[in-house]
Amino acid sequence: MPKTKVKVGFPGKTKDLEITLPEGELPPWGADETLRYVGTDVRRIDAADKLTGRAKYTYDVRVPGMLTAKILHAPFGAGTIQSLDTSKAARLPGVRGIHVFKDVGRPIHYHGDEILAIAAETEEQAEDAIAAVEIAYDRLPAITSIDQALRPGARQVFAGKDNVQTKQVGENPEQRLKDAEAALAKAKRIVVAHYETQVQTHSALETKGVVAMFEKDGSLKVWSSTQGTFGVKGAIVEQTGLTDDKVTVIADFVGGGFGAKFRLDVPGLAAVALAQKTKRPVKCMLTRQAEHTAGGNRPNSRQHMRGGVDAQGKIVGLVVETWGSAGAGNGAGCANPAIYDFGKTAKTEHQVYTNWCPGRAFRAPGHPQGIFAVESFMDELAHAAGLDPLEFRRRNTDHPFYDDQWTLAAKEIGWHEKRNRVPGQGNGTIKRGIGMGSTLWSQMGRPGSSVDVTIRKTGEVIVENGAQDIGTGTKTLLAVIAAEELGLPPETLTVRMGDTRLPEGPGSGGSATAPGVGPAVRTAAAMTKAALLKVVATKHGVDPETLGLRDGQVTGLATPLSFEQAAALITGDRLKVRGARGKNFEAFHRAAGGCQFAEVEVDTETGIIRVLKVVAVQDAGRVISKLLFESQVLGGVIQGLSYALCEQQVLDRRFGTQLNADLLNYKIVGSLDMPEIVPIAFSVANAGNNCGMMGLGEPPKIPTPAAIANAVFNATGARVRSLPMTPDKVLAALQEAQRTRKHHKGGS
Amino acid sequence: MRNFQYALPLSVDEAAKQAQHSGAVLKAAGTDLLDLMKGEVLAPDVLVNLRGMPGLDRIERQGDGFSIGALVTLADIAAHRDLPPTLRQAAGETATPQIRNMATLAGSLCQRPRCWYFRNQHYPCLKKGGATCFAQEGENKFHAIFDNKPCAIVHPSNTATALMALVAEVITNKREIPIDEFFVPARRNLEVENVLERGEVITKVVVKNGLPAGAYREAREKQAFDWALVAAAVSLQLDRGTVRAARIALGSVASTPYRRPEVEAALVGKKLSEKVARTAAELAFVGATPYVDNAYKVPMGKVILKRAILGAGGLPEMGGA
Repeated sequence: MPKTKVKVGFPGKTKDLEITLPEGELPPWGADETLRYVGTDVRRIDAADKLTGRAKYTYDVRVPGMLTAKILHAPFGAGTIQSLDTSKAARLPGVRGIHVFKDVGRPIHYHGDEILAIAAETEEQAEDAIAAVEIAYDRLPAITSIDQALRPGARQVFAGKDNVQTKQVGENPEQRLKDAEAALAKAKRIVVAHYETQVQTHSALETKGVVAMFEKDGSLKVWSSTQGTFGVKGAIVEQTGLTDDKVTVIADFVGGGFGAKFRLDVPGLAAVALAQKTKRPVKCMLTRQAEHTAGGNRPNSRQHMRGGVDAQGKIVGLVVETWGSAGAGNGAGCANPAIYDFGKTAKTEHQVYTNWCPGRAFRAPGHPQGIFAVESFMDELAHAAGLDPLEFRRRNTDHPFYDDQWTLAAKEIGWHEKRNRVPGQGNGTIKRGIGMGSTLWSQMGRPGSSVDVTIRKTGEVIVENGAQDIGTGTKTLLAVIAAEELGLPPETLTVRMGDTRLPEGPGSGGSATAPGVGPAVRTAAAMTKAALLKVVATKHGVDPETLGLRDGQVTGLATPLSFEQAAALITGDRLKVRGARGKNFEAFHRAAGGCQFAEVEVDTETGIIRVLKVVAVQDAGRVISKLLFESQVLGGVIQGLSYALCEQQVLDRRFGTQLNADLLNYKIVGSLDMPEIVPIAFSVANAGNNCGMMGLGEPPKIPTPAAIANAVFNATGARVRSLPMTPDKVLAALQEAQRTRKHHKGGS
Repeated sequence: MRNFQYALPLSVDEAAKQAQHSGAVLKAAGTDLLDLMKGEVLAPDVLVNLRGMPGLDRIERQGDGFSIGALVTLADIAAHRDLPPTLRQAAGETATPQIRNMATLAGSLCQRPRCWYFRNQHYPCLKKGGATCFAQEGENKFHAIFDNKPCAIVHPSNTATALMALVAEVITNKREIPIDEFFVPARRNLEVENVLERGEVITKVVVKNGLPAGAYREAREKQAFDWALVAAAVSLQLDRGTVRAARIALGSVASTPYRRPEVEAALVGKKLSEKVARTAAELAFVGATPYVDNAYKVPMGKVILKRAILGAGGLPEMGGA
């Protein structure tokens, strides 16, 4: 395989990297390359569609003869179905079909657990029918907290299965623990701290849902609000037994996913089953309430940390014990330890079953909770070591450019001028402080995606991939990459996504969509370009190698030839080329780094935190579109801020009913809570794939809570170790800090 | 949501007649009612839309005070320069601009409690004729700290708290009700929050301008669209810094806007200062009986009341650096 050299890195730190290019792969754009569209401010190509309402989401789909299905959900957290009678509901006007998920005798594991679905001519008739279902339950006291689940003699959430699954992390755990304890024994200072995080729901604006329609030939067309068109298709094939070629899944526009929309899911199962049963198209969307109660969530966590530093401010060891509950499901681990070099580490992880809705992937699974603890603990260690938290972090990482990012962010927030040397110094009621946190996320994309690029005789260019754009702007991103190769303004391109009849693409998880599909676009566009230039070269009798495309013109010819004129030379009505994404290769770095610095104001009498400013420096490999980059970072910071300050699923501790399953009492920050947010693109020419790009969806959500908590400590001297940092908790932390201060004064 | 009949009366008399129906529910803007109906907490047989009643959307001078029509919006109250600051601030802090543009004063006073057990159709709580107040042993972070048994609701209205701290009357088609007699504690009647009878329609609220200085302060978990954790409304008559008369009401601490006459009495005759305000605020929370999750309301409430007193007196509310 050909070896080649490419300049990688970022301004001030570039180097030549030797890479082994897979067969047929384009060399990545180098750090010294001047690009026409990549990295610039390109407006979303579908902005006008979204603003005018032309964009059609699954919610908007209406097809002739369509029925509407509604789902009956269990209204509390634990019990058994004692009796179920749908005969009255079935006789109501408009009712066309009933699909039962759980029948008599089956257990209820969480509020929102699905019992059945009813399809009717209208939404109102379906609602009436659901209300007419006669159902009785044997209700049990719900287990709604980790404490309750761990109590000796506690009822088993799953009969016959322990409520807690414990695992020692890493190989040879006994030895790891021994080594960590030995390291801690020699530490100069030891810090012990306990952190807690809450359950957060995804709260995508478009709830989950599906429209399922059988065509006359027996094939099935499904519109789905999903972040995995091909995954949903696979699930339908499995459920229905239809052959692969008989199923199409469409997701033209998706109103957010955040990790909860990979599956066909309950509304999808209901819609497909009821469409089969009734021979009519069926639409089934979750209600807002069900979206909260049954749609998945970010599991809670408890993280106990004991760590030590030596006289030089190096961390020597860390013992971590975490508990987390993904409700009646699995996957409640925390990314802790992470980011820094903690010396000798040992970790015990407990997964606890409770009567919460099963957790799901949620924008950086395990990370916002893990990094809240990790970065808070870094601050606590720095404080114990008597070091500036920034300097302390420098001593405990060998990351190639955290220091560059921290320096940039520190300057923008005013770290050295504004930070309180003594946390909580000053006597005012309103106190200000500054804090920081970092983020690390590995996503270079994977092979498996293909892209079609078509040049029509009219000059129209179409880029096609079957994966979905869940609102992040993937369509625009793909247009930018194709535009770069074809020398055309991105807004003149048409991008089609969200249709399984188009070439294969990934599910939007792990921030994998952009770096998965992007490189395939570049390959396909380059191949299409070569094909077009060959046509031109043949007509003009020149060597195609001497031709190029730039600013809508063919370059290298004696007479001007526009892209459209060149396209008109195509024999037949189009040139269509499929390009596939190759394997990843050598890179400058393999994990996107970033940091956020926050400035806060704390009302020390009411405990109310106001975040004034967040500076977010973020790497994503090569930044393809600056506006989309900023949009992802802003969204991450806002969601992180909301998680830090107010979002929280509240279950009634006795019956397990979610009490705030709406967008009023489930509190999400609004415009008046917004700080000034400064996104700073830290673009790295990275190789690794032919665009040098990495995923960006998840990393900017990770460090915000810790940056805010650390700023609150710097402002007040009070450490809030529990999310969300609501005023009651801040007041308690302030009282605790005051007690500690008095105690120290009394003792000295 | 259940089916219902819809009535659009074009006069107060007609509205009162429609409201006589058993199963009739009155609707002004409907910002609260819609949620209650969607949640199956209320299922009216007849929905009487009051927005067709003419002439009730005006603010007019009346004697040394104001007459505020029942259908005047919170946005209009917040923007009216001559209304008492207590009321203006309370209206301006409510919900969102969109809701303030719709929500009416009468609707604000008559909105139902936000208690999440009351609002969940699956909890047959005391207020809905059941046997249990689920908040007592349940999730009670936002519930009452005064007079909170057997039912733990707090009154949800900002403007109610503000009016309680003013000299005001609620005028209906039948009578004039002093604001002090308008709200009904849950202890006295679990089913209702005010004294309005079937067929009774609020036409206006009269605010007398006896206490020119005032302030409304509240604390909440987020700044955009949230209910108060605790609120305080204060009206004062001051004579060169000395309190001659005072009215104080606390919000989000009890099932009604909670007046504190003993605190008012303690303030009268005092020269207003940070210390006087702090002492009064301490006194105001004596006797609070918080639950497991809402004890924070006591220290927070003291601060909010102290600030409202200082704010009403035009003194700095917070210590400087």
